[in-house]
Amino acid sequence: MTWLAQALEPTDPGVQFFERTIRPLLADQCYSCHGPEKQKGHLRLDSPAAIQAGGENGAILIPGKPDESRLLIAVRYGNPDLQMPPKQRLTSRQVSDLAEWVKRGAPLPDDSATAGVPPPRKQFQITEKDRQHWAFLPLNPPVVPPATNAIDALVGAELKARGLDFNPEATPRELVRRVYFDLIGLPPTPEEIEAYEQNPAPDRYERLVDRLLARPQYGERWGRHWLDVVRFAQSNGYERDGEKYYAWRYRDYVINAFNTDKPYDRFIQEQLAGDELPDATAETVTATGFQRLGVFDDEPDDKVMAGFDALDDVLSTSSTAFLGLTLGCARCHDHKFDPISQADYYSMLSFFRGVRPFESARSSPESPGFAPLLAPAEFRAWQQRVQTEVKPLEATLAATKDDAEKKRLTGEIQRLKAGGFDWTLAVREGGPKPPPTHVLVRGNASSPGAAVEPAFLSVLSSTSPTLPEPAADAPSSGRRLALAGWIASPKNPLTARVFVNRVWHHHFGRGLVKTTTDFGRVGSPPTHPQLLDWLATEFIERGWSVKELHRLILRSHTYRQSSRTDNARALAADPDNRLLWRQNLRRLEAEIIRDSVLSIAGDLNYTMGGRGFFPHLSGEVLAGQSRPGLDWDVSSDAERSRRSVYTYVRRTMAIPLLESFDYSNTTSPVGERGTTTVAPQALMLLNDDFLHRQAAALAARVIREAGDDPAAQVRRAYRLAVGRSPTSKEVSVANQLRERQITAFSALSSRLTFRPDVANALSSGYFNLLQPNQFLCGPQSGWEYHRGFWAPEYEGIRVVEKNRSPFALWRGGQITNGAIAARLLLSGSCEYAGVLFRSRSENDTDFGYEVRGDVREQQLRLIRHGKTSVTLATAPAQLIAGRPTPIRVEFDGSTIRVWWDGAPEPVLQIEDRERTATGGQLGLRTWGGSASLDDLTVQNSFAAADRLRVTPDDATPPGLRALQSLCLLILNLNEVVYVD
Amino acid sequence: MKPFRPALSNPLCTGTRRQFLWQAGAGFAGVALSGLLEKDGFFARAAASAPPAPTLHVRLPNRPTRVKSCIFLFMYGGPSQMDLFDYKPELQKRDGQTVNLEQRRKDVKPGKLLGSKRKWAQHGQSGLWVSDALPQLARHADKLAVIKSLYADSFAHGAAMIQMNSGRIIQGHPSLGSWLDYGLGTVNQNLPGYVVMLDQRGGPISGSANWSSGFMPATHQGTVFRSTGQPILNLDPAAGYTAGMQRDLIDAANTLNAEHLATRPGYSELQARIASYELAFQLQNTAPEALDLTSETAATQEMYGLNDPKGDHPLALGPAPFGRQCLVARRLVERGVRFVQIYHGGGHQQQNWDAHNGVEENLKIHCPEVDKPISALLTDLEQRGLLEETLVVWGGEFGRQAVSQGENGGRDHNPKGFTYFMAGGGVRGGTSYGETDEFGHEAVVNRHHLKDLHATILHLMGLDPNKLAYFYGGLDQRLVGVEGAEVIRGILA
Repeated sequence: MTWLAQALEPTDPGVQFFERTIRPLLADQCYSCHGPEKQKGHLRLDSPAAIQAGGENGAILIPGKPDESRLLIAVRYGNPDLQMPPKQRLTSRQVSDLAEWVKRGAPLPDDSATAGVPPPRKQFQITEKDRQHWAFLPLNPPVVPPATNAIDALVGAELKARGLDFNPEATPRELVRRVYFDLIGLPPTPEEIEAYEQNPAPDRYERLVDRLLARPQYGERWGRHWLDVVRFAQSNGYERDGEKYYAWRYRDYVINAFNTDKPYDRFIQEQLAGDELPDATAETVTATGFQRLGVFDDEPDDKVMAGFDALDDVLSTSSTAFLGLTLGCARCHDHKFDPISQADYYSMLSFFRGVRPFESARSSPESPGFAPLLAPAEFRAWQQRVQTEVKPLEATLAATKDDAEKKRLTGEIQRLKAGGFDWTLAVREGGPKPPPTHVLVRGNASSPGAAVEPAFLSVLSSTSPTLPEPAADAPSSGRRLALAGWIASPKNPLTARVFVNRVWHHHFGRGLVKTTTDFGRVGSPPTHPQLLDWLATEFIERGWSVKELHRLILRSHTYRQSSRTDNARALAADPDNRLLWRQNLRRLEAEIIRDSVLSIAGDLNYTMGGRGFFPHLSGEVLAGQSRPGLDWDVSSDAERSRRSVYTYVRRTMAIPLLESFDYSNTTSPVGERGTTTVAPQALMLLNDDFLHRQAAALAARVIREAGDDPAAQVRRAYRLAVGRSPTSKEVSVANQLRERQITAFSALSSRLTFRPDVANALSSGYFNLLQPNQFLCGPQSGWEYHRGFWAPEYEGIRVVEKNRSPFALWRGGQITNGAIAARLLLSGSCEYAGVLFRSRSENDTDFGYEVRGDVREQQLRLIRHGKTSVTLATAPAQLIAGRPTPIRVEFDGSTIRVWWDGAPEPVLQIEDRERTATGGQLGLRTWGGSASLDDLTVQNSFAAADRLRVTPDDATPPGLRALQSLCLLILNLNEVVYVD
Repeated sequence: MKPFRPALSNPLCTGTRRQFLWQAGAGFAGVALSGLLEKDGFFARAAASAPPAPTLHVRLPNRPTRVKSCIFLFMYGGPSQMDLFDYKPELQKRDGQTVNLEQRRKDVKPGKLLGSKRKWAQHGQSGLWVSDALPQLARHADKLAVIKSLYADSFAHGAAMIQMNSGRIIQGHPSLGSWLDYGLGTVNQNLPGYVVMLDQRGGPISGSANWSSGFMPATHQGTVFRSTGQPILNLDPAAGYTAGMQRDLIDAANTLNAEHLATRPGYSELQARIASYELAFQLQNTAPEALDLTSETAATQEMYGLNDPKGDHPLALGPAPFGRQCLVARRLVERGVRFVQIYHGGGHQQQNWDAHNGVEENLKIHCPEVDKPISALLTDLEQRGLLEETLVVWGGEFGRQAVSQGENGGRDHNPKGFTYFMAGGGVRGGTSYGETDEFGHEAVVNRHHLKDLHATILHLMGLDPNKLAYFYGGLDQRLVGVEGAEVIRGILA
């Protein structure tokens, strides 16, 4: 502000007004953001020249026209996107002063002699150094002597230069397991390992690799890697998170593409421009679903902005997936690190500009987000046919007066127009001419700047794209096809490098370029640049065949070597294994852990494709949803045994088991999954219902396959799980565990355990899908289950009446007068549990008596449930989780007495004259967590002979339960979760 | 400006031992874990040699602060500012008159002004206005700094919730708690650093996206402590198993995994996984202990409203559920949890603060549910000397309209002006900051975008909002975005 003091007193009255009124106002209110320190929006207001120059949106004032001047629009707060000063409005006096000044023509002093002229904006320039960034240079493969393995030669040379050498080859068993997990994501069976070990053929390894590449599970394994990169999900996200219909067809397309070894260049073209290809088919149209997978807000505040968000999602994902560049960073300003200008960004965006914004409606042939499952040519032919068929009908309709005939014709026209197709998620353009694309100032859709034309990234290309000139009635512009051609080209220095690096990453746990999604300046440089270029070149030369690429890598000793760390010298010299003196021990991905467990247990359902299945969600998980269970389904047990790639992927409902083991992200591309090691994973594998079911299945399988001999069972379980026989130490640990577990389970053989498995609130639809025994789980035979009382739905949600939660009734008969004795055991999460007697169910609600132990209140409560519930008596009582506590209830006519914890006198004793001696069943309810009854005995009347012990009819014998525990232990081993 | 990035390359230097076990992440480079376990005597049983353990520290904040934890009371649905804290006599005077207001984005249309039916009074020495809907909280007026001039960008719950939690209306960015967990680590022993509790009527719209860690490792995401059922998923031994049997299984797994490890020295992740089973077992005690309120005195339980009946309205729960969660929050904060977020209100419409169908009815349901618990929380924290170390934040995803909606005197969403209050560490109590217009509709004086609220919370927790950065997608990502944000200095002590 120094120049302000130097300014001479002006003589022009307009300039005087500026100096006396306006300049102080600007200094006071605006300089902090638009002055010497900061120039928000590239705008400065501290000098006449700067005021005239305006900001990034151009001029801020039109002399003489205050209403049209952005300055006035801003201070008047008329436009919600342009309100200045942002923190506090000017007074009306200040606003009118500004208006007055602009009305007078915005007179300004001549400041040619003064300082304070805004510095020239930094021009974006691509330097020679930028062009020399390794990833932007053409592929430069080394010459490798023939008859050597190039990978080993190149890796070996680096090792040798540091005086190191490769590890020896992994053992056959380790190698077989490694290639199985790497290629199909499933463990080999013991027989497959054995066959390999005993196979004398010199090419047994190559043949194994070929066999695995030919299995359909290969596509499931590698398709999932690709789904990570393209932020795959089957819902839209946001408030409703509704289904993104037919997204699964894209998933199936990807799996099939890997299985059929679709050349990678073609794979790119189909996803970017499958509708524009000259030989487009229903399959290639399905591939364009790639561009529709992102989150979609069906209720955006700013539709235009949301449209650009969607385009940004496609452009950012495409550049990350195909080019390994973080192009999205240049949306609001030039890229901070990489030589990508904001103009580059919008030029690239304009390739997608013709794509119509997504809508979730799917039923009309005109839906922008969906296309009929047809080749585009067939679809066009159909459209023409329908038009010729519909025209005469419409003419008739216009002429007819008869209402019934009108109705018939309208229906007929609608039917013809609807087409009755199968649909797929796809892109559709509005015609041959996309709307113009502008650079958006600061990424803001309401601040369009200069117009741009489609152009490739300037750092990589100096030529303009050759854009097709589509016919006037063409469905699209052909721009995406031009872009796809540029990306899927042997000349593009990034495309092949990025892809071979991804494949390398998945075979070694780390890419040659560690940052698989960022090949820019802040990404990591390659550890083996020559190898990267060699692989990329080979990949292209072998017709972009992904399976050939696997063969190249998998045949190398570099891949086949052991992962052991006993080479102390190498470990000291290169603890991170950047030089690849060993293979890396790797944690399996979330899906592969789950799939392996299913496979080991013999339960895996290999069915491929389709919408997918819905894993079971526990009550605790459901409770976190705003409409618990809405749009979730109950799949059969068989469906729930399918591979994890077929789980229905809902953006707001991550599957806990998968999520805990670092499942992918559904909003942005993931190149490298995390591999965290945290306690909740252990809880998941130790206690989750899924694991217990699989442990039981494994136990059954082991008995089936190994018979009754305990030693043979342990051997079989080990061989199934880890492909080898147990050591003697392992056998002894297993045997000891089994003995102890047999003892423990024997002591519990009379235990009846009940566990609630629903949330407090459930959406009505989901509520109706569940069977009563899924509300409360417990012994199946001898007990009947009821949902309890749930309030009528409000906003589609039903909430349980906590007092009348789900319950189970014993089928052993009616007891009018009698006694019940047991030890009651509450789990740590149990809020309360109640013993029911003289109870019956009416419309799923219990009527009768309950003795309830309430953990939070630390008291026993005797309740009579009728139309309403009445507490008849309470008594303080210690309820300690995990401690079986004796309880005895006697009911005889109107007298009810309750003993607790072995005390000689009853803690509750009442005469209930209102409702006496009505018969009913014995039952149990528990809420929050499980509750158990040990040694439950029932007396019907008080003759001693009537005492009846209630045990679980379908209880698993302790020996089998112990074997199940052993199987659970084996599924928890590090060796199951890590591959050597 | 140099971004502040907590050193992640060596997590061993950035957390306590237990936190490390909870959070051991992708960058796990440690050779030291066996050393840590040695301290537990674990490897006395499972032989393994290891270098000595390094000393471990909590991550240091950018600037010294006494504030250690934050309790964020999230009033899901968007509470009505002009019925609770933002007294607008003019609105009451002109009740029923028709005015033009922006009711959805860029949709200015006429609406009938709806004056607050509440009675208003000034409270405390500061004379802070609080309506009679929150009589107990009003007694704490001198502890509150009420910001009346916040604004946000979205009129819809989904995007507004995501923005209030992550600063963006687009999903995929880390939430506030994740940033705190990332920036500060956790001082607790066996608990996650970022805990979320939900209303028993259901979670908020978009569910877990609200406490997601976005592009950060999943270890920084909020852990839901469930109000019903197992507080942490699968915490209880499976049905039919006892704790002893679980211990037996873990011991056997440890023995076998140690054998496996012995042939693969140097793979620290194998050691970490063994340790994670130990922590899992301990969690089975520590998590329930943190949630167990039986050790709280009857007076404390009474104060939080744990024994109070449900309200008359069929959708009302009374103060007990939220009181329980507030009390749990205090216990978690005492145990070193960094960030506790409690969602009050769940499900839809009148089940939360989304008062389309009648603001009076809505206040009648929800105010009694939170009034006593929040007052108790403030009293309790103060009595235990924890208020200085704890930042309490109250508010929703937006506010409500000055005009009436529907036939029952409802109010629609309004992100153009809404109220938050803070109390506790670093906050100047008894402050009324900023103003909305005469109807309470739009922030006009000392306007602050919600990212300034985020900036203020980070600042109070000792982090520089414009420096705390996480590198992702080619950018130094910040909670407050690349443009930065301003700390609301007017409410600082």
